[in-house]
Amino acid sequence: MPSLASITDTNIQDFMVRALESVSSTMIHEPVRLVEKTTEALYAGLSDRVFVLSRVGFIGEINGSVHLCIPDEFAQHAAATVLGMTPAEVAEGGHDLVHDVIGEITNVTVGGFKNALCDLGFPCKLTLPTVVRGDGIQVASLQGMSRHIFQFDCGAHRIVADIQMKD
Amino acid sequence: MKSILHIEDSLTSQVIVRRMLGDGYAVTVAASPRAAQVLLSQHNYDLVITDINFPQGDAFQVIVPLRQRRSAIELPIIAVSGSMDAPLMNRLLKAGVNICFSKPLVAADFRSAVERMLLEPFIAKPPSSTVSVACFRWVEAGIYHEYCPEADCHLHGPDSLEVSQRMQAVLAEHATQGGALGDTNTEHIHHYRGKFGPKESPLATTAAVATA
Repeated sequence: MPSLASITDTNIQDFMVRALESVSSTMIHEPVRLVEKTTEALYAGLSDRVFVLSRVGFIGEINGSVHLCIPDEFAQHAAATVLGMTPAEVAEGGHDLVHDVIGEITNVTVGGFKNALCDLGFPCKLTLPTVVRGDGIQVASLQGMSRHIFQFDCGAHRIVADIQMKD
Repeated sequence: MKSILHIEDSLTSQVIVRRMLGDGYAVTVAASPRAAQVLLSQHNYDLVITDINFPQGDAFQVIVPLRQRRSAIELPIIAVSGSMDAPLMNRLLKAGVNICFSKPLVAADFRSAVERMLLEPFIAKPPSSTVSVACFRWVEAGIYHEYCPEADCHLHGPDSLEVSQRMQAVLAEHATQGGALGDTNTEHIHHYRGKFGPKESPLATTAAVATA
């Protein structure tokens, strides 16, 4: 098996961009664009907004997790598009409906990311998605993990993909 | 009307598949492998579409016993997963799945496969890949030995070709089951040489294992 050091920052960025592009164009029917790689300080600027935060882990020859941080209004829009519902129907369905859609979007996105790691020689499996909603959300850095945070634009919305991988 | 059993715990995926299939099929949803087993014992379906990972168990709990009763032509199975990598696809096809799809599903491809599967069931070919694995071969007292550190497999016998063929089969099985193989590093080779001493140092060879 290749060494973990052989996974470059460029690999990680490419894998995440490709995974999110595929999911966005196929499921949400909107193109997504990488804005920049950023740092944990980004979360301070998001403290007053309501977000849906979804997490899926990967375990195996490589271990880590991906959080997708999605503005609440975009999460509702994505749920309506994916389920073929009106915004009113999504609102009526409540947070559980939105959480299920965002959980599935995260699952498929991290699946694409994980498959690219597998192709590189690091087979691993996904954990089940967990989804929370609220304001002042922040993902903590875990000890012994390298962190890669990317901002994407999808329509008028900003999505954050926060990856932590065990060194 | 053709009947389809869709095994899927995610409401979102249930809706996506239902929208892709339209109104032309009678679709029953089972939210877990256990619920699917009950439905399959009580009803006849023309096609099974299944996700792989569930909070309680996985699709193999349904696929393996189902294939003991019904062939892939009698009751085709389509597997769908967001984590559909080559080893998983190989395992699923080996267990009796007819075809595998990776999420996100592309509507036209998926619908076309469902239509074809219901009209004339077929079995998709497994993905072909080649893995290079460093193995060691040596002869001791007229017996041929072969050792693969990555698979931790040591085989021996009087016929070198027969030993190599057995090693290829072991490695192919290992790769099919999702085991990590390939790119043996020098650390393994040093460790191995140290273990056997300079006189009996084996030659490092490379076995190409095609998983198909």
